[in-house]
Amino acid sequence: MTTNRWIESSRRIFSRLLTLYPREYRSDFSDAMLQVFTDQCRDAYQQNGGLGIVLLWLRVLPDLGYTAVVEHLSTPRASWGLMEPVPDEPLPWKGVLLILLPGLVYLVSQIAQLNGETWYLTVYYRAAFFLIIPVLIVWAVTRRFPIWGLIPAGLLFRLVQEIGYQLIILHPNVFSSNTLLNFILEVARKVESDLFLPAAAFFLLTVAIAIFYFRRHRPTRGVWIWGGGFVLILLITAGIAWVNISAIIWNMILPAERQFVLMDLLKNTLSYTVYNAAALLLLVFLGTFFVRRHGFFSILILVGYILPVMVVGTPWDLQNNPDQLLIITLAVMTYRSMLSLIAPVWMSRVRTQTGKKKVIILSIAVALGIHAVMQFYPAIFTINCTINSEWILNVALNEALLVTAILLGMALYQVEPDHEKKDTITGYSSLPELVK
Amino acid sequence: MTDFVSPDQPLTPAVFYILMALADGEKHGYSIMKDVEKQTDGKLKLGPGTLYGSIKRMLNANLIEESDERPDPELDDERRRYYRMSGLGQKVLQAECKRLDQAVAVARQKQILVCR
Repeated sequence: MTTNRWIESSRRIFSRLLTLYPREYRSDFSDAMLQVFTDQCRDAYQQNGGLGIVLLWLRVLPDLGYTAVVEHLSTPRASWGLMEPVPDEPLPWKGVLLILLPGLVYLVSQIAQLNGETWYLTVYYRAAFFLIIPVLIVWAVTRRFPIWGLIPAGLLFRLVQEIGYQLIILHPNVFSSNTLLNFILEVARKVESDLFLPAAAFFLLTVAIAIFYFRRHRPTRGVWIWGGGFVLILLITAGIAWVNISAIIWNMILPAERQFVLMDLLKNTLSYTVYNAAALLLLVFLGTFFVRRHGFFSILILVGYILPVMVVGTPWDLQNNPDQLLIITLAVMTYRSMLSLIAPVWMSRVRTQTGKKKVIILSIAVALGIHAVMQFYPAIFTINCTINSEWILNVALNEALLVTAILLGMALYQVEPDHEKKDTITGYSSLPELVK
Repeated sequence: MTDFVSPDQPLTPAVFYILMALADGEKHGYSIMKDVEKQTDGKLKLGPGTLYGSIKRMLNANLIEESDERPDPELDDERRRYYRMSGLGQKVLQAECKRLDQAVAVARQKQILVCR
């Protein structure tokens, strides 16, 4: 058999280049590919000598580069960790690092807030819009929603829910250039004037998704308990608001115009409560669409949702109160770290679903505990401010609503990711890969 | 399986010509590559990446299977892997050829292709 320095060097280089392919692909085909390449080298050298080898490389290199990328994107196991979780295995560090990215952005912005820098707000409100861009690009190219897109998706949902319609209303010039944009502007104005409208739309959408989901998965006991609990807490919260405000209206003799203002206040309070709860419930059910690919990791979408929660209001006069600054700094940093860094890393490194469940319960419990305690910080730091039972009840109900939503999500997302079908690609499912 | 055997869309050139190469009997990678080149008058030259990427997908789709037997182990490098067409692969190839045949017939009818 012909062999010489040209062939041997090419063989060595090609063998090194094969490391560009995913590990699983290499273990199946690298020997065979090397053998084929060696045969090609021998033929090329016999026909054209050194020039033949050069021409062969010119043909092989683009093929190798293109197919290495294709294999990385198309081999399910190769992209596990980068695109989706590995079943019963810790998430590889490449996946963990990408999951941590939004959390790091928020931590940096939080440090800026505590230093009194104004660009904090820019990051706070706009980070979600920028963080979703790479996720959408990867989703469009690979037609697979990456695991590290779950937290940005939750963040974006939160931001759109909170300020989406306001952003549209604030830019009437942009939204009046054509009929469609003008329609969007009108809808945003309608939403702002009556939050019951989007709340009703959210509830209807949630019911539709729930019906779709429960046709394929029988609801567990947990789903009924936490779903029922969520609705009950929402009714109690709305009921308390209604009772409190209507008591003022009916028990006090007020002029007609003041009664009208109070009625307006009642409507606004109720619609705001119902709107937020409906949006949260919708997100919980939207998370079910990610379960097939990401399994229990879908809970990260809810972690993203609670990540930008204001742990405290914008600090005021903290430079003159170093003790307050220290306490608030510690609280805020612990909250953000718990949700954006510790929970995802810890969850990613635990193998079993039960383990992941424990991790997420513990992390979210600590974070929400901090959130609840810090609701009382004005009372802790300000003289002549006392904590009353109504205040405590309000905070407790708000936290309980979040907790039940997260527990409902955990009950819904306890389905193993659907990797089996991808591993045993046969017949019909693989045909699209073989055709143009 | 009927739908699979009559694919609505054409097979990729690589998959089609690899099946054609294996229609003569089992072959190893390089032999398939040479056969494809010969079938297409050198117009389609598969690189090792495209060849084994297609082989991987065809194995997954049960269109081809790996053969354990070697023509002559003494003469052959044991790292070579041989492949043969499966029953399903044969049906898919037949369906694809029929589809191409129909397309050629229509092209002739419309005088896009002139009969010689």
